This record gives sequence, C-alpha cells and structure tokens, in this order.
Amino acid sequence: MKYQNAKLRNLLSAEYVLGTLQGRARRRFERLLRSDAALVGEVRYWEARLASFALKIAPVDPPETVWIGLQRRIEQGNTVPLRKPVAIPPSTAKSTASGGPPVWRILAGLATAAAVVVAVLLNQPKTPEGVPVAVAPAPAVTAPAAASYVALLKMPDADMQWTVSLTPARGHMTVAALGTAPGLGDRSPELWWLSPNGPVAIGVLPTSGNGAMDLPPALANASELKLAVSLEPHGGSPTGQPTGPVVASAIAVHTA
Amino acid sequence: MIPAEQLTTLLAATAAGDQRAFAQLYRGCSSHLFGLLLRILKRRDWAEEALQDCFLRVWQKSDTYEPAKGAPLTWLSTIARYRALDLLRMKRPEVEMPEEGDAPPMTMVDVAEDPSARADERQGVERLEGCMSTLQDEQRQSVLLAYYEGYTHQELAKVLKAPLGTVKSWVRRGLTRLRECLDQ
Repeated sequence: MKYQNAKLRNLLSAEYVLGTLQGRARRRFERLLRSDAALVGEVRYWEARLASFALKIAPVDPPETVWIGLQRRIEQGNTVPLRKPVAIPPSTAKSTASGGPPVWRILAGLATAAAVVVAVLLNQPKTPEGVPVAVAPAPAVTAPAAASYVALLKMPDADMQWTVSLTPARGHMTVAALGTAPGLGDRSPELWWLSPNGPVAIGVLPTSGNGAMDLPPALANASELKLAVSLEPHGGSPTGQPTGPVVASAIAVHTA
Repeated sequence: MIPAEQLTTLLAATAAGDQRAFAQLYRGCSSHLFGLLLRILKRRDWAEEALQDCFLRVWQKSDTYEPAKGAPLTWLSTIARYRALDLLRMKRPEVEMPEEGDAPPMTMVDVAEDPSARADERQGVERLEGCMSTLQDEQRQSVLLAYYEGYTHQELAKVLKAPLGTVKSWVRRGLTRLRECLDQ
C-alpha cells in the first residue's frame, strides 16, 4: 500500500474511522498512526466530522450495574481488555506509565455514586396532571394486576399534546389529543416506542379527540418505556422506521 | 446533554483525579454513549460491557484530552464507537442479518432543537447532513450502515445484496464525495 499518496491517505483514514478498514490493513494502519502525525491529523478530521452522526442518536439510560461494575474494575486496577488507543494522539507517552488510580479515590467516589443514583431517582418526571381524565373505559376494573404507564408528549412551540396511557401486559393503550398542531400539513404524527433495539412503530396518533391502539407484543417485557412522536408522511412512515423529525418524546411513568 | 464547556471542565477534573467529577461525567454522558453503543451492538449486554470499557478508558486517559482535539462529546463518542467496533469484530464473526426491509439508521434527535447542544455541534450535524444528501443513494446508505451498524464491506455486500467490489466503491466514492463537500 502506498501511504504517500495524499488521496489514499485520506481515504484510508476515512475508512479507518468509519470502521470499514478491516483486519490486517487496520492493524497496519494503526501501527503507522503511531509514527505519522500527519496521518493522525487525517484521522482526527474524520473523527470530528463523523461524530455528528452519534449526536443524532437518542440517549438510553444504562442500568446502574454498569456504574457499579465500573467502580469495581477501577478499584481492581483492571486494564486488561483494552487495546492501545490509536484514536488518542501520540501524547500517550506520559500516561502509559501512570498506573491505576489510588484506591482512596475510588472509595470517595462510591459515596458520590450513591448520591448520583438518588439524584437520578428524584429527577424522574412527575406524573402529568389530570392524566386519566380523557381515557375511555378504565381497563383496571377487569384486571387490576396489569401495570400501567402514562406519558405526556408535548410538541414544543405549539399547544399540541398527547396523553397516552399504556397497559403493556394487555397490549393496549389509549390516547387523548389536546390542542392544535399548526403546520402539520399532510403529515401524520406517529408514535414510536424507543426499544433498546431501535424504534418500534406503535401507530399514527389522532390530532383531536381520543383513540385506542394496540401495542407491539415486545413492549410487554420492556423495563423502560421511552416514547417519541415523529412527523411522517400521511398515514405513517412507509419504511417502518422514523423518517421525519421528532417533535416530542417522553419516558412513560409507572402509575399502577 | 450537558453543555460542552461543562464536559471539558469535568474531563479536566477527572484527569486531576476528581472522582466526583468522573461520576458527574458518567451521569452526563453515559446515556448518550449507551444509546450509540446499543445502536451499533444491538445486544444490551454487549453495550453495557462496551460502556464500562469506554469509561474505564476515559478514567485512565482523561489526561490526554485537550479541547483542541474537538468537542468532548466527540472525543467520548469516538472512544465508545471504536470500542464497539472492536467488540463487534470479536463477538460477531458472522453478521446477523436484519429483517427484510429494515431501514438504515433513523434520525431520532433533532440537534437543531436541543438548546444544550453547542452551536458548533449543531453546525457540524447540519453540515454533515447537508453533505450526506449530495451522495448517491447507494453511497449514502453504505456510509450510514457502516457507521450505525458497524458493518464491514462483506456485511454491507450481504445486506445490500451487491457484489463486494461494488460496495467497496460505494463506500470509497461516498467518502471521497463527502470530503469534497465538507472541505468546501
């Protein structure tokens, strides 16, 4: 491989950052990066630009066990499975020698971690006011055991909002639309469940009045119900995935 | 999302050994990075492992971060993504084929609407999207699938039902075109 060709160097850097530079070629490229500052610059160029893709992904809260396990690994000075970072520039010389952090730092941090958990719990969204009002026949009457959730999905810069009540175990939800949605045009607001594996369509929301919808079966096992509304072509997304802008999102609150 | 300036401060404090700052950094960024990792790795257990690896690296290497290297979230998500790619290569020797008709990555967050996103982050997203729209469909799809799914050339060929050589040239031409546009 001729690493002198500027175009090729740039392309290899791009494919390295994208991840399509594979196997031996990738390793060779990484070795080269250690001694070629200009090539590091090329990689940096692509890292900075392609990182914008990452900003587009909706956040998902990791389970608390990740943080706890992380603390344990830091405490044990576990550095084993990590490869030498090529993404990080050659100034690593000073840092490679420094060992793990002292244990006292970790112990101090554990208290902080607990505080963080509490703070996160306290920050859970409150149940929106007057939620179950508009909802038709109360399903809880027949089987009070099934868990139910509510979420308030509000469009910013508009008074359009949807209150959704979900009973995942029964695969059922109701929705009450309130307000007006200006500028929707021919587009339909579609409700999505943001599952750990990506968005799952629930259905097109009414823009006025009440409605009821079936829920995807997989939702019954969800540990957290993140919902979002996107604007789709009339009748809903043609691809089964969101194609338009997200206008509202919320985490459903467990109510019973 | 915490503002970039705050993240820079937290990274600096983490580098100085401040556990509290590290915890705050984790609290501020972990859901963002976890979303990215889940998107690429698909499996929750792998994403959790990668997130832990990623923050372990951040703890060990936060002293190598300099604001000149780009926004802190760029730095963090780059670390996370490389870790995800490594894990994929180790754990997914055979690509798991998506269901028929699975669409390429979605747009779930409108960064332009996020008041906490820094102006240059917003501009970066807009610029990248603008330039991506100048690519031919196959080129764009190949680049997006490689980024969000971590697909190799072989996996792309399988998913896009095209010869390997064709797919390679889609990626190459897509990236070349992207560079031309981004440099303008």
